[in-house]
Amino acid sequence: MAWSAPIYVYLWLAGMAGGSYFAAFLVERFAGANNRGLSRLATQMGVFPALAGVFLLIIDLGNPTRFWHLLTQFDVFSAMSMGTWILLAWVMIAITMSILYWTEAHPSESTTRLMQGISVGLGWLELALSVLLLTYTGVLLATSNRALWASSVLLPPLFVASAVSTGIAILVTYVLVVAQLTVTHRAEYKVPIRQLTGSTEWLIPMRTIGRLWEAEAIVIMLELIVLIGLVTWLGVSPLAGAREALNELAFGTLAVPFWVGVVLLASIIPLSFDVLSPGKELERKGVLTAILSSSSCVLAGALFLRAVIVVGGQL
Amino acid sequence: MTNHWTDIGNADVILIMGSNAAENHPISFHWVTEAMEKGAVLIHVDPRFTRTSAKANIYAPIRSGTDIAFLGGMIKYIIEDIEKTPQSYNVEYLREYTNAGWLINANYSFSDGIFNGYDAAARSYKDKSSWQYQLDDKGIPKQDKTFADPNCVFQLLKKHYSRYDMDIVSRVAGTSKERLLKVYQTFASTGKADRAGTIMYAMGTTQHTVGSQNVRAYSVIQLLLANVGIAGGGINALRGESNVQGATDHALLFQYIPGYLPVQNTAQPTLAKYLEAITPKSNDPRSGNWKQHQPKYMVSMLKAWYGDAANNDNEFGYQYLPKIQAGGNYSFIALFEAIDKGTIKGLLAWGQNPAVSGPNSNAEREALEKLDWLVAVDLWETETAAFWKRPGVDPKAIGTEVFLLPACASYEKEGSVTNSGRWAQWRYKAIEPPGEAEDDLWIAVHLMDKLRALYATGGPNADAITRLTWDYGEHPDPNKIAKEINGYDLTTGKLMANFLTLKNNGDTSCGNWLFSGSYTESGNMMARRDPKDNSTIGLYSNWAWCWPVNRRIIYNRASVDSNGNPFDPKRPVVKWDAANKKWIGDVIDGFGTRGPDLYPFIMLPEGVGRLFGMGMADGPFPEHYEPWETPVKNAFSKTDLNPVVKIWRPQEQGTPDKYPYIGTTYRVSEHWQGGAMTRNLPWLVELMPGMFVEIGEELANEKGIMNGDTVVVESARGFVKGTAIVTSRLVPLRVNGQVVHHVGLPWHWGYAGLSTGDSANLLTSYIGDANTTIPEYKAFLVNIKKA
Amino acid sequence: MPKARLIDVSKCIACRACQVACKQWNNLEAMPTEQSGTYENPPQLTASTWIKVEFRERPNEWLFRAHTCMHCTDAGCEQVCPTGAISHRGEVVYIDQDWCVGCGYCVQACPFQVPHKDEVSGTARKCTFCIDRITNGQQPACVKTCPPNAIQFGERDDLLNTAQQRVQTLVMNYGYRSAQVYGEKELGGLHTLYVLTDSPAVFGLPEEPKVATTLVGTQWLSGVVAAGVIAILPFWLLFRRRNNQNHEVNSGTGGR
Ligand SMILES: Nc1nc2c(c(=O)[nH]1)N[C@H]1C(S)=C(S)[C@@H](COP(=O)(O)OP(=O)(O)OC[C@H]3O[C@@H](n4cnc5c(=O)[nH]c(N)nc54)[C@H](O)[C@@H]3O)O[C@H]1N2
Ligand SMILES: Nc1nc2c(c(=O)[nH]1)N[C@H]1C(S)=C(S)[C@@H](COP(=O)(O)OP(=O)(O)OC[C@H]3O[C@@H](n4cnc5c(=O)[nH]c(N)nc54)[C@H](O)[C@@H]3O)O[C@H]1N2
Ligand code: SF4
Ligand code: SF4
Ligand code: SF4
Ligand code: SF4
Ligand code: SF4
Ligand SMILES: [Mo]
Repeated sequence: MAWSAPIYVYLWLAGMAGGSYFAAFLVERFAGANNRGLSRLATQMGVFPALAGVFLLIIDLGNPTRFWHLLTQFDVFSAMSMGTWILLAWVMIAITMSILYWTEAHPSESTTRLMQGISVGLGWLELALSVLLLTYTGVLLATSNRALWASSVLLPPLFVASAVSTGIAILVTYVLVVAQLTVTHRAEYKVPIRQLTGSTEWLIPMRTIGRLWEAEAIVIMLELIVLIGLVTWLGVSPLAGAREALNELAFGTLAVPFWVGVVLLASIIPLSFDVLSPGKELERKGVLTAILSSSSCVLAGALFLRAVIVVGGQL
Repeated sequence: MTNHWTDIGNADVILIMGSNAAENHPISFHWVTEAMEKGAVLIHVDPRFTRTSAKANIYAPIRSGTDIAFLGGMIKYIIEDIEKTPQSYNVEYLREYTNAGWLINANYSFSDGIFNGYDAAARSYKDKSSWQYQLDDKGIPKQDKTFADPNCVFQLLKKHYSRYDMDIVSRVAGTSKERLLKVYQTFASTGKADRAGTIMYAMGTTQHTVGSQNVRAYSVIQLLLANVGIAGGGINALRGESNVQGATDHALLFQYIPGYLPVQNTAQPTLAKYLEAITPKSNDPRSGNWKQHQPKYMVSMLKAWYGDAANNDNEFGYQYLPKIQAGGNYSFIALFEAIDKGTIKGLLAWGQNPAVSGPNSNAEREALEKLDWLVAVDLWETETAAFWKRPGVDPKAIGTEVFLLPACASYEKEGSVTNSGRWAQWRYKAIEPPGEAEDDLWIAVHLMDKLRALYATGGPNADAITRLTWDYGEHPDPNKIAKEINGYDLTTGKLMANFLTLKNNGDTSCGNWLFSGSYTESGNMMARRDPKDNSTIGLYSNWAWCWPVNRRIIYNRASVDSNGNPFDPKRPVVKWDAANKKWIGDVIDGFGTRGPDLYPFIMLPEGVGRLFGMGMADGPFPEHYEPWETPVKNAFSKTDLNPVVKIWRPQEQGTPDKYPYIGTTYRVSEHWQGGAMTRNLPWLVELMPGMFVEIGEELANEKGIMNGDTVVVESARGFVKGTAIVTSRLVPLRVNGQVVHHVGLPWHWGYAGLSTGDSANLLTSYIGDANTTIPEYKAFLVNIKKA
Repeated sequence: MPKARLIDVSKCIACRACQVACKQWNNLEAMPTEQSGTYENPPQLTASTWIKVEFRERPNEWLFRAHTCMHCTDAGCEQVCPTGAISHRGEVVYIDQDWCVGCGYCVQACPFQVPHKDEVSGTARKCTFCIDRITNGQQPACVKTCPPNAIQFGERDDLLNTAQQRVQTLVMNYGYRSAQVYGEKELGGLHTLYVLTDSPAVFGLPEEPKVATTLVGTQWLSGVVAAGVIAILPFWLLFRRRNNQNHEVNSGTGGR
């Protein structure tokens, strides 16, 4: 099997990085600047999974020291080539933006305006790159000759949706786990994460977290719809290979990880938490646990999804 | 082979029976494929559906050991068809070139599976005197060219095979009647003078208690169909070991000395007596009776061996030669029984691996323990060389002293290799041998040098060794040997041009008359490499050299009518140029100036092809007998087993109640024989990594065996383990109302080398063919179970 | 004039000499295998097995096909290769061993499961079409060794002719009604052509092989659209600012 654990973990991490940025940036754009902390958090935090992903990708190469050969090509037909560039650009911008946040925290008359301008521009650019990054994780597999991956055009949407839900889950989990250590039942959660070198603490409205969780549920539903679409597509495909691949996935060697890992963990269980939760307000008893449990399931489920798809395609 | 590999491309119908040519002679399929591209039909008759069957137009399954029934049915079909539609057959050939119309002694008879003259106590036909022609007053066999005389061969043949009707054949062989008919019709279609049918056979035919008679059945069919001597016809034994043809030509078998001269025995105490015995007589002016020349070949051979020490005064050294016991059997099984009894104390296992390849491996491996010494001359440490440390024995308990002499592989030495088509091809050394390996010639010469030094001080029949011409030196030159084999005119010192002028007075020497002409004053003919074909039928006469006298198709006189015109003008082999009194085409079979009136089968004293074969140990017509171990009774007679085979170990016979299935052993493309040459090569081990057992789906179901399971196969002699290959290619057969299953086992594995596994020969038995004693490797009884 | 190989399955006797000849010429290691109830081994093409005979059993039939690189005109492996290590050298689709990073993408992209990653060299490897032989006037090793000439090498056009005639014969004289040529049009034309005695599927070949990147635009679009939908559906719906809200940091006091 040419692609195994490093690849699906990588796809998961890349999705997580891009997904959390995507979610956080949109929240800030739509909900207002009081959510700026969230998008900043996502930017900085994303660098780590993204870099870890790059690391995995490189060590998975047969010849890691030749990694640079990838940078000598810009091939729009090769998702691997495009992905390399997208990921590279994404990380560079994330780092640049993080540095900008720092300069914002230490303002100097002359730079601030310009910096803010650049920062906003880069923010949008990074959003576009995030979209491409998420899409790429699907396109990489979809432009192959593996029936499971390439028989439909639904793998990119599936991975995009899954990545966004993963992104939300990691954000929420991070915020809650880290914040809970310091504050409870306040109007705002203080997120005691510091800028890379600064000391300012970002504040994130508590409501945002609840809403994010709601958003997560909707994304999961969308994801489930796409998954059902994919399964149907494969099932009715005129290509025997597609039907066999589905068969292998649903009833073959991968049946358990598929039904338990993907269907239950990534969809049914998180949605159940959502339905069963006493509300969306964090103050309420049990909600916090529900969110955390649901998000952990989403994170694990997303890894299962990628593992099952990556492995299943190569059977 | 009567013909040669390339000639298979000329055939219209190819019958592969008792051979898995695609797997064991892949290159033959170069020519089979070529023939098929021209429209030839391929028939394969085999108990298993093999890679050969996969290419066949008609595949007919058969129960192992029942070819005579199958072929007897074909003989009956052809005879009846000849009578019905003689215009579809070459009746002239049948009349003029076979003994169909010749009269046989009226005392000849056959009943209930036994021919006349049988001595049950001796298990042999003691009196074969009536298996002979009726002679006229000139001593020439009598004929009735209308085939009407009830004692003529045609009538006897018809009578003998009248019993082989479709029903009984199908019941015995397990082949369906329509499949039989299809095979019969298709092959009989080559009876037309301008159609050619060839038979390719090998060990599926010979490794039976009726092996030689299986081949005889082919002869009968091919003679009836006028397929011998023509292009695209013949009876073609696909030989085995790469140079086994050459080895046989040079006296591999105990009953021959070089050139198929009979081995001298105790009933021939003098050269005169011996020569008399090997000089057949014929009073028929139309018979060439080539073997009348054998004394010249014998004397010339003795001259080659003993040089000046062989002369008229000492019977040309005849007394130096050891003589076998008249009627004695010195074949493989006999030798191992003698080792077991302690009669034979030392063994040179020279390019042979009997611990794997011999029958009844447990018995043979135990016999090896009784040797005082064993010398293995091989490329590898074989199972034979390593028998003393095989699994399950204590090396300390074995007293045999074992030597292993490393030998060169074929690429590491120069010399000739003779292929199945009798082509001797000279090869050159390609690379240096590794380590201390030496070529076999070197080993033989130096061994003999040592012996000569030892015998110089005396010993039993020491002259036989010390007086040999043995001047090969430190580095023996294969060219020198080849020339010695070709022979010299000792009066001029020139190399012989061929055997036609060999003398019985000591003026010529020749190591092997068949090869005379292979290395002449014009050079080493075997080294010729002219890829141009000057014929229209692919004779390639200037490529290498072929015995005898570079004749590519033997019995080629049978390819022309009585005027010397080819029966098949599309594929002319030879043609008589009456004006110039000479033959054109292939080198004519014997007596170059003699016209088409000469009978074509010059090696037989009567000169015509034998439908009735007098020389066999087990009867003039092939008769079906069951294998030694068989699940059924003989449906043709009450004589179950060939009545003249020797039974070595009656106590080791398995019975169908305990061992209900037919075991059969065979080869696969990926491995070679005992396996030393291939189980040591990683690439080949990768292709076929382990011992397997093939069974049909029905048997597997019955036994609850799944594909890939480990199974144990057991016979009365031993058991083997292997991985089950469950396949639809092995179909159960209906035999006499009973369902019969085959269990197939490749015999390539053993305990030495890179890939090890059980040897199939642990199962096989000490029983062999009545004429040759080749072991019955192809049919024995086994049981099988999941391990 | 492009060269090609023609593999005529009706002539193949599965002697597997091609499999060994390829290893010998190209110095490829043997791999450990196991007898698992078949004549076939190794189980699939590998980084050190560049041609492999497949066996298929049907009642009264045993089908053989030597499987190897097709040297596609539209080669998916080449399309997806992110380093340009794979390129056409004439008709040969060649992997430059010095440039391949071993990302394994070609392995996923090939419609015929041909290239494989080699553990030792870390690169993807496959049939080279014996480029070192054919550029020196010799036949590929597998062709040279094949006893019944079931693999032939020559001008592609000539071989196509031969193939079509052979198919005619198989249909007319041997009753193989579905006999056909494979590779004439597929993927812009393959340089390993087949004479098949039945449909490609029977021989484990895709009926309509596709270049992996055929839908690359659509796939991207599909993902981007999905991102757009998600941007609107939960995010815009849930987070868009209501008119009366200001965007002060503590405006959301108390939640809803
Ligand atoms: N790859 C490879 N090639 C070889 C060899 C090798 O070991 N490996 N060995 C060489 C040697 S020494 C020899 S002698 C030849 C032997 O060549 P073959 O005779 O072709 O070899 P086998 O596989 O022993 O047997 C041939 C076929 O006979 C069938 N058979 C068994 N019993 C019967 C029967 O009663 N009737 C009929 N009609 N068929 C039967 C078997 O199923 C088998 O398919 O091969 C030579 N070539
Ligand atoms: N069950 C069963 N048993 C069979 C058969 C069967 O069909 N079924 N077939 C039988 C047949 S037909 C045959 S021919 C025999 C074969 O029986 P063997 O001749 O005993 O078998 P091989 O394995 O061919 O042994 C030949 C040996 O010669 C070595 N060798 C190769 N080249 C050279 C060389 O140049 N010089 C020297 N000195 N050694 C060399 C090889 O390494 C090998 O060990 O087996 C018989 N045994
Ligand atoms: S064993 Fe040797 S001679 Fe026989 S077909 Fe194979 S390559 Fe040719
Ligand atoms: S060498 Fe030829 S006949 Fe043998 S397996 Fe390969 S393609 Fe088939
Ligand atoms: S068969 Fe596969 S590896 Fe070969 S050229 Fe085509 S796509 Fe590339
Ligand atoms: S493994 Fe090598 S040849 Fe294949 S796509 Fe990656 S870089 Fe290209
Ligand atoms: S063309 Fe050369 S590299 Fe390709 S399969 Fe044949 S022998 Fe191997
Ligand atoms: Mo043999």
